[in-house]
Amino acid sequence: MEVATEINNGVLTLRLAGEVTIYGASELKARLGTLFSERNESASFELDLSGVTEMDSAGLQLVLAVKREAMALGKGFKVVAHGNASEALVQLYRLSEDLSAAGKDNG
Amino acid sequence: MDNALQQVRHTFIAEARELLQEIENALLALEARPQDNETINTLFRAVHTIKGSSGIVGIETVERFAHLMENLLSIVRDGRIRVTNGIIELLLECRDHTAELVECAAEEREPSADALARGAHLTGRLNTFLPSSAQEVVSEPVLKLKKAGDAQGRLASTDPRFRHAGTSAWHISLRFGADTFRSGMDPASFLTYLTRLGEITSLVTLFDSIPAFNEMNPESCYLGFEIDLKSDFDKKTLEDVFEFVREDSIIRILPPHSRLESYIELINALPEDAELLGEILLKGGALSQTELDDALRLQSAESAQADEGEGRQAAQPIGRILVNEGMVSDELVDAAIEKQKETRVHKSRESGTVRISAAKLDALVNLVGELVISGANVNQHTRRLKDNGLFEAASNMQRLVEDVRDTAMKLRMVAIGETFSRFNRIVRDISRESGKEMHLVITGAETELDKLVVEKINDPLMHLVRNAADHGIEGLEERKAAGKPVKGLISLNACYDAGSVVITVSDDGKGLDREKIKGKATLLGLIEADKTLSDGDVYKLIFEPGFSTAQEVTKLSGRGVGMDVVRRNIDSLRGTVAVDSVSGKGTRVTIRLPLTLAIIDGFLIGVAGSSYVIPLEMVTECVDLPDSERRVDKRRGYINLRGEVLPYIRLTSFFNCAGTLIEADTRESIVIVRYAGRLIGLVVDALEGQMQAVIKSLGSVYRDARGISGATIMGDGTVALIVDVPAIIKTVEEEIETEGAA
Repeated sequence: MEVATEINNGVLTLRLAGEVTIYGASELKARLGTLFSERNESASFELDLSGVTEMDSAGLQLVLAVKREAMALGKGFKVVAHGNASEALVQLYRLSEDLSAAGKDNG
Repeated sequence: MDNALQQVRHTFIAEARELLQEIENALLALEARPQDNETINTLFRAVHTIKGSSGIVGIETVERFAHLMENLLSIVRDGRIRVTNGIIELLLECRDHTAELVECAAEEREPSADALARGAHLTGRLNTFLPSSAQEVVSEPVLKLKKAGDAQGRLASTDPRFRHAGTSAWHISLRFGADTFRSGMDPASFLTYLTRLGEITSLVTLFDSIPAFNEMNPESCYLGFEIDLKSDFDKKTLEDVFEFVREDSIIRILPPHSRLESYIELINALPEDAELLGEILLKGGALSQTELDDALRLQSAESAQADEGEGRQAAQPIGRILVNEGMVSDELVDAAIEKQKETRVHKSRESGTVRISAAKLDALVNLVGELVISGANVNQHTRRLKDNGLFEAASNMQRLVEDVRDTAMKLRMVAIGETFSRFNRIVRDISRESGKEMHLVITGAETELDKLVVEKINDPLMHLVRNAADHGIEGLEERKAAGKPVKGLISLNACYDAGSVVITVSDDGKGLDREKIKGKATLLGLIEADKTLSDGDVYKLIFEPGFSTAQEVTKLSGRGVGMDVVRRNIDSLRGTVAVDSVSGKGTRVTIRLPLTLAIIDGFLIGVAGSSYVIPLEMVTECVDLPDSERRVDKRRGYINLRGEVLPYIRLTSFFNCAGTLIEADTRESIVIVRYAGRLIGLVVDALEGQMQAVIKSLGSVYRDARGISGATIMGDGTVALIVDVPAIIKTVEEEIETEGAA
């Protein structure tokens, strides 16, 4: 599992890659937790899942939790790109409305 | 039958017995206040639960019959018919019949032909109350057909709860347990598997229960799903999909065309709020807008009712959902186990109790007994070592051991009230049958006794209550003539008294007939005709075997097998029984029972070099033997105790410890003991202080040893005998009597 962040004009882009599963869930959550610290002044989050090779429900649940927290803090959130793994899971769970990849055509 | 099922059956039977008792109590309460909705609801719930759980464990006889009772109760509950004495009578008979069916199931035998005939008869009577559509024939062989017929019957009714939803899809509600991920499972794989069984027409993922980011545990599962599935597979197949997560997860599967009622229950059972769930059901096509409106209206009406009625109603639907017909397939034993778990959890929430097997409790009490013995052992060594720190630690531990002992003993204590309340029915039935009027007043129902004692005292009490109702209370005319209130009074009371529990059964009836008893006793050769006897002695005769003065033998009592059994049972509990009676005023039977059978606080004494234990609660005080009585070689004597005459007996001679010389400077003491209101002094050689004694039975070989009720092992491993105070008092009294007669 890899996590990369990049800040551009107040938009924080988060790139996840590799396996996003139960095995790395605790570690990932800890890493993501820093995003919500008060020091982070980004107005909006973007999530890029195109590099995710494997995702399970625990991973997806974490993504949902990030989205909910962002909304709760009044920040924007969108998934900008899906990989095959995350796409399949979102389809199965019929969560496209919640986690639609706005920039799908890019990836 | 495999073990799991067997265990479920046991649990069911134990619960059914409790519920049947509850039903009986409720029916009797209903008799007093026929319009009490609360009671009617209690009844309905109890019958419903019996029906549901008997179906799950596969006891069809019970299920079918309880179903009929439920039908009647449901129209009573809806206020469509009024509660009359006739209905209560019928329901009581139905309860008895159900009880018999449950007992048959417990013993795994078929109901007798008699019982079947009675069942058919009761079914006929029940049916006269029911609208024809809801009637059923008890001999209907196929349960499924019956249910279908029932559903059709209800369909015709105007109640929207029984209407069926138009959808042809299954509705599956899933709330995965928190440990799902940790157990190596993924909800996604279940959903994928479902797609192989049919077409998922709608799926909504619920993730609102994910806590705030900081509080969420990323390894816990918070996901839930509402699914509509078109599938030709049966319910069991669908249930089997979730076999591995069944334990921790909420899984509800509604078949196509389920009743609106089922959807209401589903909405009630799920954690999300009704509006949201309603929307999901609507969107997924499970319900149409009108159906949803009906359902939500009913649901809110129901919860409002529940709110004003009682809090319990709100917790109910989970239970009801599971037992709802068609929701759980009969062959699914695991689901039945889950159901049992749920009802158990449900029950314990209600009463704050846990069901524990008596054997485990006994094992605990046994261990505590051993602990008490080794505690005493430690204490003795401590005293010898004279180490202050050790002494303090040991006495601390001793205190804790005592607490543990008391708590363990309390675990075995149950209130006697439940036993008492069963007699309401007996008194009522006798009143009906004999045309006499009477009522039972119970006091001290909260008095607690050892479970074993409570169990064993049930039969004797039943005999006594029957006797009071049958023989004690007079007929209406007779009572009027005697100037007594027409309604006879039987009272049952329990209270604590000096380490024992006293239970009295009294009536305000005609009292015992002294002359008749004497006559009968003479006839039986128990006494000589010309002998003068005190009242107490005459009344004691009724406890002799084969003794009954009843002119006619009724169904209930008078067969002369009652009172001797009463005394034998009470004797076996180390208790005593006494009768008091005033002719024309009434009779009172007083039973005295020890609080517990296993451990006592004892007072250790020395007699001729051996140790004995006197139950501490019987000891009132210790005094020195006055000089005038000392070394007088008398077996018995009297001293002046603060102006009262106190008889005493030397234990040395009582236990035949002759031969050991009493040395000139031995200071003998008198331990004054009290039992059943009588005081007596026991002269002993040494007072050795208090100890806890774990009673060990001496076995049948020493059954005839007088004055000894058991033995205990002391800390140093030696054996001390436990003095049987009641027996000594009895012996002394007999001796005084024979001396007086001589």
